[in-house]
Amino acid sequence: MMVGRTEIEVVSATGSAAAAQPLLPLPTRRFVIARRLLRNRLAVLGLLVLAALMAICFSAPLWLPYEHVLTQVRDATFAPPSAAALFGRDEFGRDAFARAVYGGRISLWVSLGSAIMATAIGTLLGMLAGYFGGWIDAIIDRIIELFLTLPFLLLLILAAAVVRPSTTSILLILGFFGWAVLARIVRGEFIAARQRDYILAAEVVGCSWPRVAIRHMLPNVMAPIIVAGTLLFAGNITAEAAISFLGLGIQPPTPSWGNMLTNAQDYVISSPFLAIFPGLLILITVLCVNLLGDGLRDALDPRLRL
Amino acid sequence: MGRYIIRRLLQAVLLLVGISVIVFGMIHLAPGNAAEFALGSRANEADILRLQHYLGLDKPWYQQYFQLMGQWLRGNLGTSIIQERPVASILLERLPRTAELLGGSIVLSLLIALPIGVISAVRQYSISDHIVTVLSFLGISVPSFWLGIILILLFAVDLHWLPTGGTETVGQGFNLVDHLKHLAMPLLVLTLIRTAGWSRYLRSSMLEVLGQDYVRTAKAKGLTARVVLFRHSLRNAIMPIITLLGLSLPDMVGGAIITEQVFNWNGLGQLTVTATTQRDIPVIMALVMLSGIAIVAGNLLADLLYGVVDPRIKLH
Repeated sequence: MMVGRTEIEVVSATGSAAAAQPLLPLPTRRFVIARRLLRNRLAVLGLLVLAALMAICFSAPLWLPYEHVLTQVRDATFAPPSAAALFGRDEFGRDAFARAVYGGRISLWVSLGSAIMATAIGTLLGMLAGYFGGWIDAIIDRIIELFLTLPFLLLLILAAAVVRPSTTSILLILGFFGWAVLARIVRGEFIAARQRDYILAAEVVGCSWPRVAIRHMLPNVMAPIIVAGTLLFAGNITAEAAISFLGLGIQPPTPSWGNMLTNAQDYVISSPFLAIFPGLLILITVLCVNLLGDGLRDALDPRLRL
Repeated sequence: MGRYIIRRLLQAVLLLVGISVIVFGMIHLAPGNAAEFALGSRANEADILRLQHYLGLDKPWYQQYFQLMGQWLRGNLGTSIIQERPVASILLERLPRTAELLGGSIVLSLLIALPIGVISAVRQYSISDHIVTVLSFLGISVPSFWLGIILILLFAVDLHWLPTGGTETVGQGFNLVDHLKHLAMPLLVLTLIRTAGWSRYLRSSMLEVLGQDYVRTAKAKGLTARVVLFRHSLRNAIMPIITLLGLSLPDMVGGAIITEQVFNWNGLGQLTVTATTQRDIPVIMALVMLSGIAIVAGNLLADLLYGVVDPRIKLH
C-alpha cells in the first residue's frame, strides 16, 4: 500500500543539494490513522458488517421489487420464516424480509442524513461560538444549553405530532434537534485552538476569518467531530426506531425497522419472529456503528503515539 | 458560592421560560386539537367549534400561553381537557410509578456498575474485562423497546414467571408481591441499559486514575492493594459518576417514556404519549416543565456536588 506515503529527502552531511536522495518513506498521518483503525479488529468487523448491510438495503430496488413490501398474501398471514419469506409474513401476509430490507433503506437513510445535518449545524455553530467568543458565543451557548436541556425524545414526539410524519420530515426533525452535543464539543475545541500561535500567525499574514477558521482550525478539530458524528448516527437509528415504534414516526404501509415492531408486540405470543428480526437488525447496526466510533476515537486520538 | 447559585437559578428560570414557549408553540402548530379528541370522531363540526370556544382554544396562541402561565403563577396547574380533572392530581397519581422505576434503576445500576467498572479496570484486558466490554457494547446498542419485547417473550410468554405489563393484576387490589412482579421487567430493562453505559464510563475513569503518579507513589510506599484501590483510586474515579448522573437525566426521561409504553406502566412517560396524541395542552405543558425542572436541577446539583467532592474545582 504505497499510496498515502510521502518520501522525505535527507540532505547529506556535506550539505550539497546534489547528494540529496530519498531515504525513508515516512507514512502520512491519514495513512497512520487508517492503519491504526484497521488494527482494531472489532472496529473493522463493525465497518464490514455496516457496509454489507448498507449495500444490501440500498441496492434493494435492483434485486427485490417493491411490490413484495406491500403485497398481501391473504392465506399466509403469520406464516413462519421459510424460503419464500425469510423473516416470515406479518398480520397482513406481507413479506417481512422485503419489509426489513426496504425498512432498512429508510431507517439508514433517515439516521445517516440526520446525523450529517446535525453534524453540519453543530460544527458551524460551535465554530462561530468558539472562534469569535464574546456576545456571539454567549448567544450560541445559551441556545446550545436550551437544546441540551430539552428532553430529546419528548421533543421528537411533539415535533412528529406537528408535521405530517414522512421520511424527510423525520430526517429534518432528528437533524434539527440533535446538534447540541456536537456544537458544545466543537466550541470547546475551537476555544482551545484559538490560543495557538499558528492561528495568530495566520491572522497576522492577513487571512480572512473564514479562511483561518475553515482552512487552519477546522482540520485540527476534525477528530472529535468525526467521532461525535458517528455516535450521532448510532443514536439517530435508535431515535428513529423509537418514535416510529410509538406510531409517530415513519407511517405504515411504508416500512421502517421501528414501525415493524409496533404491531409485532401484539402478536409476540403467536409469532415472535415478527418482533425478533427487525429488532436484531437495529441492534446489529447500532452495535457496528458504536464499534466503529470507538475504533475511530482511538485511532484519531492525537495523544496516542503515531 | 451563594452568588454562583443565584446566577445559575436565574439562568435556569430563563431556560425554562424558553422551553415553555418553544413547546407551547409546537403544540399549536400541530394539526388537530383537544376538542376533537374529547368529542370523538363522530362529533359534528358545530359541537367541536362550541367546545373549542368554551375551552378558549380559539384564542390566539399567545393569549392562551399567558393565560396558562398566569394560572401557574397562582399555583394552579390547570385542568386536563380530556380527563376533566386537575392536572396536579393526575401528576401526583402518576409520579410515584415513574419515581420507583427511575429511582430503582439508578440505585441498581450504580450497585452493579461500580464493581464491574472497578474489576475490569484493575484486570484490564483479562477475560472478564473482555466479556464486560462486549456486554456493555451490546447494552449501549440495544433498543430499549425491543429489549422489553424480548424480555416479555422470555419471562412472561415462555416461562410464565412475570406478567406481560401493567402495574398490578386487575381486580385484585394492591398487593406488594404482585406489584414487584409487575415492576421487575421494566426495572430490568432500564437497569441493564444504564449499567452498560455507566460501567464502561467508570472503567475508563478508573483506568485514568490508576495511571496517575500518586497511585504509583501509594503503591511504592508499601500500602496494600486494597487501600490503594479503595482509598486512593476509587474515590477519585467515582467523581465523573456525579456528572454522569446529572447528564443522564434527559435520557432517563426518554427511557421512561419508551419503557412505560412497552410495559403499559401507567407512569408519567405513558401519560406523555397519550397527552401528546390527544393534544391535552395543560398536561403536556406540565409534563415538559416537570422534566425540564428535573434536568436543570440535576445539572445544577451535579455541578455543586462536584465542587464539594473535589476541592480543586472552584465555582464562579
